[in-house]
Amino acid sequence: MSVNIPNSCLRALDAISLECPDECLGRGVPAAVLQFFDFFSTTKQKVALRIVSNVFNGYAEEDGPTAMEAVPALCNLLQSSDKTILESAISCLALVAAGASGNAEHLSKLCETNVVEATMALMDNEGWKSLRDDTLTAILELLKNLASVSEKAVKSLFELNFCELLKQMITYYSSSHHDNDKVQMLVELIYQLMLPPETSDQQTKLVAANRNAIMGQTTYKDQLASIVALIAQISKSAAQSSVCYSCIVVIGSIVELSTPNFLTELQKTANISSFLTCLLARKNRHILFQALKISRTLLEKDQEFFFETFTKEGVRHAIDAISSQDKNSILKSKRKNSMKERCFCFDLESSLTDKACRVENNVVMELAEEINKSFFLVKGSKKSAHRFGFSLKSVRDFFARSLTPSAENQDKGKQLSHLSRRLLPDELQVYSTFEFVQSGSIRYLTDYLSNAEYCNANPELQSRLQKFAHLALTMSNDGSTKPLGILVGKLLDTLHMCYDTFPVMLSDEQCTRESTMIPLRYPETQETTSLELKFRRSKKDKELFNYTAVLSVKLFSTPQAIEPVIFPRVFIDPETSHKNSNQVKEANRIMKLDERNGLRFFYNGTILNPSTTFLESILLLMSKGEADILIDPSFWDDEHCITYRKRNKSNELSFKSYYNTHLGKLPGDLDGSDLLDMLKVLEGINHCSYQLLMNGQIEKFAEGTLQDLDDLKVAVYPLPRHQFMSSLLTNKLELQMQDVLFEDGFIPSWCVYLVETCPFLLPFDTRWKYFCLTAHRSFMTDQINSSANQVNSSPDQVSSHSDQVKSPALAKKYRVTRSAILEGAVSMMTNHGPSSRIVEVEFEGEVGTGRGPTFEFYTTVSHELQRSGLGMWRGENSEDGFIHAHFGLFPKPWSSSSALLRGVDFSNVLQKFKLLGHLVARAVLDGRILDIPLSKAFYKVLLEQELDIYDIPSFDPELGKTVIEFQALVRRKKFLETSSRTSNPSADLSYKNVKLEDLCLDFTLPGNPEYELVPRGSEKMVTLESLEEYVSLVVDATVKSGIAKQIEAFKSGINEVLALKTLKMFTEEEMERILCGEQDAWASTNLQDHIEFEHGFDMSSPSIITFLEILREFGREEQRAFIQFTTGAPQLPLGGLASLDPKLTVVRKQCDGNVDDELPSVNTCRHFIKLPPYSSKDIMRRKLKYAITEGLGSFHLS
Amino acid sequence: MARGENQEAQTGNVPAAAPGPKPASAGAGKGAEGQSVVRRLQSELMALMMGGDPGVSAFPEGDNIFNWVGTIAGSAGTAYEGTSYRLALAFTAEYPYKPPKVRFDTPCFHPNVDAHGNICLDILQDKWSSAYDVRTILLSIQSLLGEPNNDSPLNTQAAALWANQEEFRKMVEKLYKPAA
Repeated sequence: MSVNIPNSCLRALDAISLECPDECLGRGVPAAVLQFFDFFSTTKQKVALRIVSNVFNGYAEEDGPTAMEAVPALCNLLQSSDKTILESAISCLALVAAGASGNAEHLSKLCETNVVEATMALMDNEGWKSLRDDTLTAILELLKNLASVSEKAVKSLFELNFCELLKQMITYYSSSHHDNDKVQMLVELIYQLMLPPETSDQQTKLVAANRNAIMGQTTYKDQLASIVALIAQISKSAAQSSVCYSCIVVIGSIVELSTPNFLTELQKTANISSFLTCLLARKNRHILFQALKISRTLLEKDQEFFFETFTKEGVRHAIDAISSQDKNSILKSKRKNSMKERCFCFDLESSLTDKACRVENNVVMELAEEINKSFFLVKGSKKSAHRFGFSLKSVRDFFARSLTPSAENQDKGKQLSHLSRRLLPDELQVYSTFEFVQSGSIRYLTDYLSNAEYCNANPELQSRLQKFAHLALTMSNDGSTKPLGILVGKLLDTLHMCYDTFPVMLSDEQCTRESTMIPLRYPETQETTSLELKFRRSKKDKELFNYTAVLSVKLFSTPQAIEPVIFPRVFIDPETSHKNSNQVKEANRIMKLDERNGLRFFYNGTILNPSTTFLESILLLMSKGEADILIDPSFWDDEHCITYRKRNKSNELSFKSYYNTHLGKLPGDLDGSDLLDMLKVLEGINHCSYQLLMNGQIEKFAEGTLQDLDDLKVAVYPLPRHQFMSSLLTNKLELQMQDVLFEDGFIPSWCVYLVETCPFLLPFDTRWKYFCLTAHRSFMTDQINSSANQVNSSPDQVSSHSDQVKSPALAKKYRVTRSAILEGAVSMMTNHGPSSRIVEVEFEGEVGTGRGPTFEFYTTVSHELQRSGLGMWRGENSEDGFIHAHFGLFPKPWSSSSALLRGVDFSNVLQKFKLLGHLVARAVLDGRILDIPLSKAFYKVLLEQELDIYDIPSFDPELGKTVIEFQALVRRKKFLETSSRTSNPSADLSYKNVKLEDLCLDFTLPGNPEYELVPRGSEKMVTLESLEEYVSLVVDATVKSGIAKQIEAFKSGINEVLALKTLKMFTEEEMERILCGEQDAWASTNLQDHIEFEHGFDMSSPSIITFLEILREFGREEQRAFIQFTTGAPQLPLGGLASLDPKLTVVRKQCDGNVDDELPSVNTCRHFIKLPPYSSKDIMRRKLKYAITEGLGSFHLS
Repeated sequence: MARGENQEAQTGNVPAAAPGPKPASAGAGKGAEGQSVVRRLQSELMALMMGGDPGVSAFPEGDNIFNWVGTIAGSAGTAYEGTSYRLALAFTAEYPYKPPKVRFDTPCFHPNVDAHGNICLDILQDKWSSAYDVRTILLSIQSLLGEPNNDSPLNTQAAALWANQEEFRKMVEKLYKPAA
């Protein structure tokens, strides 16, 4: 047989199969083509598979048997090493299965081949990660179809430990924020594994029965149980109701199939009741209906047990609430036709598509009532009167007691011991989230700890916070769970009940944003969407003119912003109305918009919140509080009618912030905003834990329980930040940000609120994305534009406006001279700093342009700003002419009396700080990187946090330590003076056995004798009596008044470019990451050039090779920890490892016993690291990591 | 560089006067500056002269009150008995908030002293307290001579030899070059 003939045949078939696939299938083309597959060249093989795929695309059901003939050959191809062939084979199989879906006989034929095993083999060992997206989808599609009819397939899936794989995949995709479809698909697949028992089909009933038997086997059940917990988690934190619904249906099916014993187990491991409580708080009736069904099933299976649990976990309370709802209010909520109604039932059960939605409004309520009647009421009568469990009352009483003002002083000690006992991990864990919320403890606790302006608050509050911090953070016995952690966990759980409060609003255009590349600038060329508003005078209002034009407003327009535009056009001034002069009128109109006169806006009779955008208000009113809002395209074409009415003092409504009115009521009369407040307080306590605990130590010293000043130290282990993050809110914000209109200003107010007030609930990546998407709003120049052009009332204005704004976003170029780079930078920033365009730099006399020179410019300028002699920074002048600050740069204090010092003019210092501000802001906006090691405390200043005495050690440990010790001495002196029992007047008030006078300190700033803290301070000596004054003056000069002008200049520099407050959503560490990038402490290539090896080690020692490998693998955080560990300071000098003096030296550690038990040790004096010659890389890495991270996050003052 | 130093230390070829860089003294030099520090140092000088601690003494070097020369005598019953070491102390304007920089002027064979005379002593680094003064520094160094911290040696040869006090004493004597 000539080779050419089959080739021609293939070509012909390729064409034919496209035209008439049915004919080809009927004649057995796929099987025939595949039969000779191995004889084809690779390219021909691909053609062959294309033919098969053409043929199978949507084949008729009666051709099923013929189609199945090709299956074994296709399965064989799954072992192919060629990726393209593999992928085509999978897609063919998926097509076969899709075509046969619904026909169990054909599908079970398909299962008789080893298709399940073969596909599973592909996905095993994280193989699914390397598969292409559509291939993976095809596999899942295939398995789903198989599982829906064949119990054999289900059985093999379980045998192959499919649940574990699913768990891995779900975890992976649900954490990546933009693979919601995948998660949904995986959940559906699990759903198919279970198959709902109520499906009517005769055939499937049989299958279901068989399946029931399969489920009965314990090994499979364990697999299922482990997946339930995960699905419940996904469901709770899903941003869309549809995902949540699929999850709950799956859980429902599992519950349906399980035995009572299994369910009791499930309650213990996955707390399914708490999950139900969370879902029963939602408004979506599909979710409610399913949650109620699960509750009923659970009660049917084990009434005794679940009655108890439901009462404790709040399910009962929730069902009660649903059944007692006002019936009319539900019926009233008929939808507006411009909102898309979605019934989730269709998503899972495709057979139902033509029927009406099964879940009618009143069905939910009826089911709730039924459950109530048949389970709760009967039981409730013979049970105790405690509706919400026994332990609840004591919790509530306790917190109520601890707030009674009368008991405040006498009983403080006793109360606190109560509190401590309650807060012990095991106690707190016993209470369910529901009980905790219902008890009202959160409200009490918030009150107890409120006005939390942490360290500057009144003494009583300060001491409460101190004691609370001490209990919540240090009382962990085993170190694994801190009481604060449990508390935060419970609060976040509760927060997830407020699902409906954070409605995700999606415009119809379902195109999702690429998450990796976010432009920092507004894409000005893009057509912006706008909202058509028709303003009409309210019928009740007779004073105002009627205004008939339709305004096209931007998406972020608020009633507040529109008011000044409309007002002059409709307002009739009683005094000037009879005059004819238009000009007078004009002037008066504008003047008259003030506190007393103004407009109120209404939509369908509901008054609009002046600070919420029209768009959001209208959408919320249209949707009646549903949590998923999908905007119909017609919405944008419609004119929305807004009525206005005159506002005057009498009918002035006070608009509280969105959250005071909208955040749903939770059980226990807890307001959602209380919840966020409480979380804020706890986060603050966590953030300030060092301050609080240190203060506590000082108090102890003052009272004499702590004797030695050297013991004045604390080890702080704050809660990791991720424990404060809410997965639900992160998912919701991520989803909202994927909407294409987000940049145009379609930002629901909850997003703004969350980011501004509770940024800690969201991870850095999400906040950074938010910042990038909204940054263009913080440009100073753009802001002026947008406020001036917010309303385009006339067509000419629209065009002129668009010309102005839509000029191409070219980069601005600026030329600087290397020799005068600072001057160049100053003039560049003064001219182009506030520009909304990217600024690029070229060097005079050099040809390079663009990124390279610009980056170099930022690096060079940030180096120049670290030169010694500029008077900017604290720290030593090192020999290379730069300031070397081991703990980061912090502004050097300048006395207000001296404008000139050692030839440095203070105004120059201020100019440089302003330049730094410009640089920082431009670097953030343009994505540049600064090479300047600013201290944590300086970042705190940047983020507008107040500094105090406890911040000093972070940039000057020696000074900080001494002033804190002085402070402790002052407190002790005060304590002794005020305490009534002055039994020991001659108590030790010396400073470490030295009389204070002997220290010979005068009232000048330490290390800065020109800075007199008081007039003629150099002649005033510090004594025990004047110590308090001295300490407060030193602190004030160091972190407040002495640097106030520099900080002011710095901030004004930032503010000229972007609004400083928009940066407040970041932490100090994150700011540093944004500004200085993910710079490595060393480049991995030349690492060995900067390290010495001695005493038993040289470059070729196996241990050293491993050691260098490990160092190279270290991430930024680990590198830092390593630097801190070996040199004692977190910052390397300018130039990095190469300029470390003495050089980092690795020596062999002599070990007596087993080397693998030893830890590396260091000599920070000489930068020695003593490394035991470990037996393996793994052990070395583990030991190194342990050594460098041990004590990290704790800040010892010693 | 570090390697070179240590090899020298091991073979005992330490030059008589280690050419260490002059300690930087930021605020030093001008009498008008650091009134507080000057006052404090003067008061310490008085106390030292009056106190008469055995085996330690210190005095400003020339006109500059910020640079001192200290002397310590090896304590009886230690390997350093009968020796006397000169030290250089350089104060900054931030004294007593920051420790002075202290260095051996006389070569000293000791586990915690390197070939340049740099000393590894906690109170001169992170354990410094404003309550310490010249006297406490000198006394601490004196006691360090007899009780080295062999766990973090700068001079590993000295640390290794410490166990053998007889040999150690020989090395101390061999390398001891008293100031003229």
